[in-house]
Amino acid sequence: MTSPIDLTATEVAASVASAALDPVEIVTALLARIDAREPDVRALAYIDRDRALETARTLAVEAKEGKLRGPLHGVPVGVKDVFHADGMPTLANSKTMDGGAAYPDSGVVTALKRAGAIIMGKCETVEFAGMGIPPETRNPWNLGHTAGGSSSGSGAAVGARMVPATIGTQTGGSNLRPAAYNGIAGLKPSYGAFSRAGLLPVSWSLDHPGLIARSADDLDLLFTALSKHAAPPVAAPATWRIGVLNDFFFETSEPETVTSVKAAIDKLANAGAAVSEVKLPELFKAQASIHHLIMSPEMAVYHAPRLDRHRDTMSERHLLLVEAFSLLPANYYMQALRARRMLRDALAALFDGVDILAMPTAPAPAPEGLASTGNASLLSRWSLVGFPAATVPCGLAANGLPLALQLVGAPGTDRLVIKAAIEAERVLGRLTLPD
Amino acid sequence: MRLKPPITADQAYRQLALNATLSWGLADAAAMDSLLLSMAEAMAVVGALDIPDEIEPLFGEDIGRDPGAVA
Repeated sequence: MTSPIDLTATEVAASVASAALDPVEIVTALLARIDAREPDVRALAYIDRDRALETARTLAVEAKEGKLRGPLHGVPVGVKDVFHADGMPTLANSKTMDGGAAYPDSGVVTALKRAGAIIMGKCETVEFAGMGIPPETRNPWNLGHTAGGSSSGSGAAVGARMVPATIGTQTGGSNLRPAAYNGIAGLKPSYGAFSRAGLLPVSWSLDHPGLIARSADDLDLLFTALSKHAAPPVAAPATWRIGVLNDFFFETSEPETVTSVKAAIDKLANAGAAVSEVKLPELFKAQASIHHLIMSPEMAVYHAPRLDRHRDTMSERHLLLVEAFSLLPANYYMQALRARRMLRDALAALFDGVDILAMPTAPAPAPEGLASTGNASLLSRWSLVGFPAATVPCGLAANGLPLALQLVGAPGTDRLVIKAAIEAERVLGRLTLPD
Repeated sequence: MRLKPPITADQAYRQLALNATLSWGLADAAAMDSLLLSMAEAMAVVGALDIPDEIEPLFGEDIGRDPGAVA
């Protein structure tokens, strides 16, 4: 029999619904896995052990009575430590946060609980999910490498099979990169798809709560539970039309990443997809600058009161970021917002002849060491314009670390992107961390 | 700081550095030098863009909507 720690979120939900597994059994197995792996991986900022078991007992009784709260009934989930959750501290990897402060559930946690999820605890994050101090989280595929960031713990916890699914966030590349580095699936939905209430922001107009899970099927399950808007299921196209972005995305990736992702796209073509090359608009070259000038002042404004009150306990790195970013003139911020709209419209036009765009998720596998959480350059493009994007693993690098394929859709086509990720996972297979 | 005619990264950097010293003092201004340089470079790129008069910024959930759904 498959161990509960090896199940996807979808399999856990189905097992609970069919009474094949008891939520208490699942949580107990995951807590044992956490006890075994957490000392090395350090993915979790807070483990809500007692309440997870208590919730599991309640959900087990309900399941036996045939009362399922929602699609996640009995599914254990971790949340990045920038989302508030009742009864748990929010520390955001910063000494400026009050560990004794009480917060009501964030919108995401409320939606998870309503759907029947068991909140296992909080996942480690880079300081305030920004560019500050990284956590001590290690990549379970190789403890000498980063797990990515800023949703470091969300990626590592799923990769290490401590929990089948987690919630992360992405302002640049913080959700899909940890998913890619840990050999699992991830979704950054369209901007505004999930609630940001009760989330410590990096940048209001760029922040996306996102999903990290063991399988692409899980993304569908979690999206159903968390989407604020009705997003009815969509049928997969009879023939997937995949646009390949050779410009920039492959040009700036390492050779082994290019080889792996191109091979993955070839496999999708052999499975029936129609593949064509898509060219980026000229304005794309300004993307990183536009992103910089939007994120920086929004972050500086949010953290200005903290700079005033907690200057002595704020990390020097975060302090300098807030100070420097506060200097941007307002006219440049507004011009960047206008440029984002122009870029978004130009990029949306790429989908006139294709269903989905394909490219690497990250230019290289997870870097060695913990000082850097890796390169977000292939991801921040889609965070800037709010398009939905998913990642699935597509192979292993020579050093044994996962590589990943990114799939991007037009604005609002989250369900289609998830379908594409499911199809890609079906063709490419999943990665499982060897014990 | 002026937006048009476009400024160079060097011009933006010098103004940011001056403002940093006035706002945060010499020591912090020196420590954030690389951050000011990257911001100045981004300002030069965005300042040089030609954006049609009719383009308005997007706010809130309009950012993630299909362009056809946003007037």
